[in-house]
Amino acid sequence: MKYSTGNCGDLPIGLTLQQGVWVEIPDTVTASTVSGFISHLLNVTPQEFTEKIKTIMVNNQVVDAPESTPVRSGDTLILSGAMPGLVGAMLRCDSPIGVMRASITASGAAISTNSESGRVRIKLFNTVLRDYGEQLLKYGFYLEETAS
Amino acid sequence: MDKVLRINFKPDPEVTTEAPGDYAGLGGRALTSKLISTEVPPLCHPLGPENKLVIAPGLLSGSAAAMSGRLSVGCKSPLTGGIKESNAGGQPAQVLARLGYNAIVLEGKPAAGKWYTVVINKDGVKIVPADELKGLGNYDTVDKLRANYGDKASYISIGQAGEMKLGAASIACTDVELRPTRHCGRGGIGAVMGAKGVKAIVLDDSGCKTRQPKDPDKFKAANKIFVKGLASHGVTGQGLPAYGTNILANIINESGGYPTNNFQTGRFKGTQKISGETQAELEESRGGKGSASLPCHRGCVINCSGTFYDKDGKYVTKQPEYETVWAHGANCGIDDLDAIAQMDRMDDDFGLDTIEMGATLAVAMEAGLADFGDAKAAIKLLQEVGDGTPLGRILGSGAAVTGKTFGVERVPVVKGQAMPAYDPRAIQGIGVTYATTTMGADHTAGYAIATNILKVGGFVDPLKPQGQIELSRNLQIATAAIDSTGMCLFIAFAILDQPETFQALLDLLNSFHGISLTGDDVTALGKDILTREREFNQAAGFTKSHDRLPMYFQREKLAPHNALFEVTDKELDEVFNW
Repeated sequence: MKYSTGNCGDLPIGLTLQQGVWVEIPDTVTASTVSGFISHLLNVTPQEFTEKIKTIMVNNQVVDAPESTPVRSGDTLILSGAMPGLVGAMLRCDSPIGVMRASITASGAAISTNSESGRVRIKLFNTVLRDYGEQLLKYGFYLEETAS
Repeated sequence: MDKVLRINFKPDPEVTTEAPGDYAGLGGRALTSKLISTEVPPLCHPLGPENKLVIAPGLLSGSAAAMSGRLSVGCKSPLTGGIKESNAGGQPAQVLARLGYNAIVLEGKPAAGKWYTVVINKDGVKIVPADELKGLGNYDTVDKLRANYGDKASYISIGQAGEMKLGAASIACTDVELRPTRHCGRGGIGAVMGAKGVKAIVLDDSGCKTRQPKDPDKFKAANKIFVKGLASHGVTGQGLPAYGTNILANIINESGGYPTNNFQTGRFKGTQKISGETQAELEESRGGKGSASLPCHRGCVINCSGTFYDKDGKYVTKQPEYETVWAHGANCGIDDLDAIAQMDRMDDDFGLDTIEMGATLAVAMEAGLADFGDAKAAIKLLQEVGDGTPLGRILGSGAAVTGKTFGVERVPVVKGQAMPAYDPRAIQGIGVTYATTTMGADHTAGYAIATNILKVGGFVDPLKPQGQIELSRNLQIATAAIDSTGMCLFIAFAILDQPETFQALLDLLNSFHGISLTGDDVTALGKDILTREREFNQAAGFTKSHDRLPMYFQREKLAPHNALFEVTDKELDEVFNW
């Protein structure tokens, strides 16, 4: 795994951040919540968080309550802006039609699927990628090396 | 709009114009479904003289109202055997409404081998032979028509698939750039236009004025608030203009509901290569006029479309939509945006529904006609459809026919129509709508997410868990009503979140028509449409057994959630229990 900060050389950064990068969980927010971790990582205010980050998934499950859903080492965290379409609307945090995707809603106790300690895999999509990709570059992240 | 145009091919075309009568005050799906359920024998053959093709603009089409350019087309579907309404953007709805028509109705059956072009302008209607257009794709058809009728007209046409009366045939509408890129795609309605011997319809509103509201001041004020609401919303003001509808690809993939390799799994390894984000980046890097953001009709303020150019800057097609990219991409194991764009162009040119064709290609791959991921082979199969080879005619008849022909069980259809880009095992609620809608598997049938604000079909309290059966019912009622306005369904997102935007929509309708529409009226309209459609389908032979997903969705677990479709038959039967 390679560590990168500030720039990514020749990497197509948009594609890289969609595919996911690993970030350290600082001690101060270890075992913290989704909203706490994202606010720290992307330097967003509570108002920006509410307005701009509309869809969140942890380990492929939709998060309705980011303030009470834990982030744990090895989790994969997905951040997206508001989505169109019926399903896009279903997948929003706390969607009024969220019951239609009940089987993939996070229960509140996210399950870790990777034993690697101290890091979370994060993927940024669409307007979140556009608005906060640079902040993630400044924060620094790890890339998985692919076999050549 | 104060007249209905009827063209009866019996077998020579006879043109009549009449007052709307019982169809007055109706638009879009409300009009098409009422006319079909009233005038078409449910047991008729979809390609026979008893079937009718109804083309109707919406209630606000042709006015200055933003987003009012959807055109509805209805008939008995050759693909599903039931009632069908399919709608599209583009220019024709606006032009047809300004010409004063509530609807065009094509009836009867022409003499064998006869093809016609219908030309409509302010002076009346002409039916002219279309021999020189026979066998042409939509692009060449429109080019020839433009040479005769100019660039101020808009055009409706069918390609080779419609001429061959194939089950996946669409009807093309020209966009602002006069390209045949906006399709009433679903249900094989292009085959019905072909059965009427109509290759193209020319609509020229030169000399016609924009439709005027009953209360201009209130209308103008409402339109201003409506546009402001769309511009300020995250979906309609930011996400859709920047990334188009394919903005959904990544997130649906992450949810595990992105059907891959003919619905074998719920995640596709190559999604990032075909996502909306990557597509936007590619289109911007290649540049060209309208590459990143473009409206599909005048009066659109969302601009969710764009233009796809190849690496040399040559126009290929409009920006492929989410459903198209998925159908020809993940569902066929293909992660090449250029190949997907090429197939989108071929679909538009031959006149084919992109969802049906992508699903069909995947079934063909499962049958061993090509390998998943082999883009060249997929393009070759699609070319067979345009060429009208025996294999091409099977493929062009849709996924269900292809599955039967080649002995494939895993065929993702309901009522003979292919499922769109959401696997119902991961997202169960969409499966309820796929199963029970009158239209066959359709993601837009329960699309109007404005239920809470509209309070139509019953108020949904977000604080109390409510069943997906009730939600699906309410959403289908609301969608049926909104499909009648001619408004783009994408307005639903701003309406969901912003009560003032919803009020502006109601004010637009009320001030334009001088009415006082209430939530109860909307509910009644939506229920009336669905009731008529259900009764037509029942008379056509549909039973509860048709409101089901294929059984493999209850047996084959979908990775990564290992999910099955678990909504019971009893629950599905309650959707239309009112």
